[in-house]
Amino acid sequence: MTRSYAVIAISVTFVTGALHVFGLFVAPNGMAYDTWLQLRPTPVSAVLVVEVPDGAQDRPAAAWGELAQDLRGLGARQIVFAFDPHAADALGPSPGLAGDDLTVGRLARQFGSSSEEWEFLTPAPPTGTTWGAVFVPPAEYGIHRRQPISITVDGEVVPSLVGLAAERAGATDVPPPGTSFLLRFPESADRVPRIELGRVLEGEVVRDLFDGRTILVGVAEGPAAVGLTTPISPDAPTTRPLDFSAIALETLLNRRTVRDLELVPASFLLLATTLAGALVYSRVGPKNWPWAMALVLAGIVLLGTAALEAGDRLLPVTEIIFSQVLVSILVWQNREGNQDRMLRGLLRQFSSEDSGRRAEAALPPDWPVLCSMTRRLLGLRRSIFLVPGKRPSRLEQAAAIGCCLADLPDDCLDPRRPPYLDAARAGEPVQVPSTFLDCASEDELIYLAPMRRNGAAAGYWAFTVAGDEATEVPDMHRALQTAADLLDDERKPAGLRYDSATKAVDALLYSRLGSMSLRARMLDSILDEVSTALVVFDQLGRVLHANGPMSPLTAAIGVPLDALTPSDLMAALCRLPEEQGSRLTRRVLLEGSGIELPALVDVEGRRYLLRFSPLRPSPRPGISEGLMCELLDVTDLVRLAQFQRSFVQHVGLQLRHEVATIHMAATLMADERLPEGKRRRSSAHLQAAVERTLERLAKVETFMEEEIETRSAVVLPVDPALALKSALATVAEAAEQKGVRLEAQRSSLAGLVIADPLELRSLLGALLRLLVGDARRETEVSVTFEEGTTVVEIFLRNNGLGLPQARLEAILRGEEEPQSTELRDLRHGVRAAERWGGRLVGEGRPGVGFQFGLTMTRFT
Amino acid sequence: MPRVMLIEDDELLRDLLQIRLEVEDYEVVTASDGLEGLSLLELERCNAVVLDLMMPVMDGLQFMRALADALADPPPVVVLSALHRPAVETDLLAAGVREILRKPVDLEMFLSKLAALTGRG
Repeated sequence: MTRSYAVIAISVTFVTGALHVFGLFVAPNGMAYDTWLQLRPTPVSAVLVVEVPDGAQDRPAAAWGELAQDLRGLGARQIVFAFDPHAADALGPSPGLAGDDLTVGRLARQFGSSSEEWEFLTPAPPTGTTWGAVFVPPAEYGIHRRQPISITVDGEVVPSLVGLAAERAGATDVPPPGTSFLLRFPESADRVPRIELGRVLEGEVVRDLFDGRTILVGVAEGPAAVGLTTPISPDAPTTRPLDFSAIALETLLNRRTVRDLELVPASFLLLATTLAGALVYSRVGPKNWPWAMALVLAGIVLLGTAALEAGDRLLPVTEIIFSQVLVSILVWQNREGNQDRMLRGLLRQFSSEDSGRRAEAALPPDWPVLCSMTRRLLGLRRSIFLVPGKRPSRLEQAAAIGCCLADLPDDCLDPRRPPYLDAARAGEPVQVPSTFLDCASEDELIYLAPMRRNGAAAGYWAFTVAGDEATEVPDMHRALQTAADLLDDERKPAGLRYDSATKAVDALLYSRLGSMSLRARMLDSILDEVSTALVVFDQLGRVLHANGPMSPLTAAIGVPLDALTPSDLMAALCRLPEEQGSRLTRRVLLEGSGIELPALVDVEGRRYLLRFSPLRPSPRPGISEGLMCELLDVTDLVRLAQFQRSFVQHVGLQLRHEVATIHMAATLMADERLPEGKRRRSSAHLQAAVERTLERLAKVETFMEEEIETRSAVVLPVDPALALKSALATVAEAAEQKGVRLEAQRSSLAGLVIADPLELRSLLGALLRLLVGDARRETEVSVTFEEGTTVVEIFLRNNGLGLPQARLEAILRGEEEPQSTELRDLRHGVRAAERWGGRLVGEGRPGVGFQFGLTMTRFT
Repeated sequence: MPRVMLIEDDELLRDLLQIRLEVEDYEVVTASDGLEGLSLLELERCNAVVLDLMMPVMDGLQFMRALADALADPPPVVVLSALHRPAVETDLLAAGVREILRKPVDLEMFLSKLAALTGRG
């Protein structure tokens, strides 16, 4: 818990204490006690009331003495007279009225508002008589529930009758003088045991009623017996003072006095609960406030009940509840204020970091943003946005570039008149006279267009264009309206409604979040559209962002994106040991130098070059903010290089062959045994071989001049086996799933053909996809080569459903639109093959399948 | 005079080799591809075969595999080729080729090996 919350808790405790001193909580605490009493009434069992009729208290003292004797004879433990039974002029206790078991009362009353101001109403009993004060106890807001142990009369502390009688009866829990206690009331006053004096005097009594009890003799009715309002008679003052005294005496005799918690423990309890509450509320959010408060109240009730039940103490429950409510309000206010301040700081920081990179997505108005876009995006010299002003007949300037409101004639600012009406009706830009904008030059055309913001008409946009740009005006308006809609959308996330209850800081937060979210979505979609797979790592090698093309690659190499590290990529694709991968990663991050690594493993048939680049230097010296890995797809380049390599190897073989031919001719010509005719033949062959060699070299030069890196289509001598191998790889999985066997027979010594290597591969791939897709399960797709002297033919066939021949030919000729992707790709491949001299012939037989023959020129 | 089958698709070299072998007192039968050579061998007995590898219609390796099926006692074969590919050479030797010489060939060595195979050396 922070210091501020502790300060709040302590302050609340002091405030509560101050209010307690002013007596604010007396009534509610009393009501709480009353409620508990109703649930837990205490029967009266130790006291018996003898009701004296009004006026009978004036009987002679001797008679009262006889009564006392009779009561003793019935087994009374103690006799308490709620009045003085002695005569006014008695000099000492009368017979029967003396003894340790007898106490008499002397009437007193309170005068004035202070509880210290009491006076006696009757003379003091005779000396030697034990007496205590009889009085109406002070009320708490009209309810009598406490009995003072003593009163102060003329500065002298006088014990109350009930207190004194309880002490003389041996009660050990009598509170000290100057204090009071709470009575434990029965269910009702009727529950107080009583008997009329007359019956006692006549002996019509049962001994058990008196045996062991304290007998309280008092006047039950009459002027002195005005009823009191008590917890057992809350609606009407019907509890007699005599009954009240009996209940008080009962409470004392049974050691069940309930007292208030003393000041010091009560203060500590209040402080502790307030601090605990502050701690809880500082961690509980507003959503959980009702639950927290309910729990707290329940806890307080339980604590208070337990204190009464087990400790006979009345806790300051109202004070505690009040402090809990007050501290919860103050703690949450403090939290809200802190959160708002923190949020504003974050938003200011975001705003300062974001400024200059993009237009500020401020809360309304943002016409200036839109206005600056007209210059940046549309290249307009003059733009002015007009919005409704204070007067309905006059528009005001919201933003402008290259002009201002003063450039418009005064009579051209009423939106209820043309040209505004015309523009609003048209819903698109309308050309207005040159007088509309004073500052426009002669070669500028002026247009006026309506603008909508947040789906409603918001104003007008006037702008100028050069004469030859007039045709672009509708596009300009559409572009700007789209930009305005974009600005509006990003300032409020979908579904959010701003209203008067939305705090300014919340509105700003939503606006920032909206713009951040929109920007992030735009960046994500842009990066996903990039064909290169890329992933950005932070300084610790954790993935910050990966674009769409990256996801299938990580799945293919078996490492989930959230666990991917640069070393994983190097290990999986480049087969680098982890230690080396880590060293290279450090080089990029710490030295800031990029590296390129060729992948040695194909991923889904593609070959990649991994390029690791450091991100910009971080504020921390000596380390970049992270690194970016691009997986450049170099599959086609690698394939072309493979094709070129096989071509170069083939050229080498041919040159060797030519050298062998030349060598053979030369040795023959040097052989003297050779007849002249054969010598001439050998000479001719030598010449022919040399010429042939030169031709081959010229052909090689021609092919080597092909810029395969930049041309989209190149024709080279290519090894068709390589193209076929690559094409077979693309259908291997599909074939396996159908149980289709791929049988390709080709000699490893076959020569090259003239073709575009990539298009040949595509064509073979399209053929194989068609044949595999059409093939029946568990059958075979066969590929065979036949090499002639000038051509090489590749035959592909399957056992499948096929197509009618006429339809197949129509599709390949382009007369019928193919229904499947495979046939579409095939038709495209056929056309491409014709460009480099290839020829495809196909045969389709329904129920049998397909057979294709691809003829290509043999490279010699 | 030993008879040698010369299977070579290049007309120039085939003619030159034929002249050379005839100067060395060999009787020469020529074929321009493996299939033609196989057909001729089924009709005419030869003491040795000089075989090129990279030929259309039926290349040298295909010829060797077909030769074993076609003739019970095929003549020894010397391969004369510009190609140098260890995997292919392994297949050729497994198919029964006796000598593999690379073009341009050392003439003395070629004639010496041919003489040995035809029983002259």
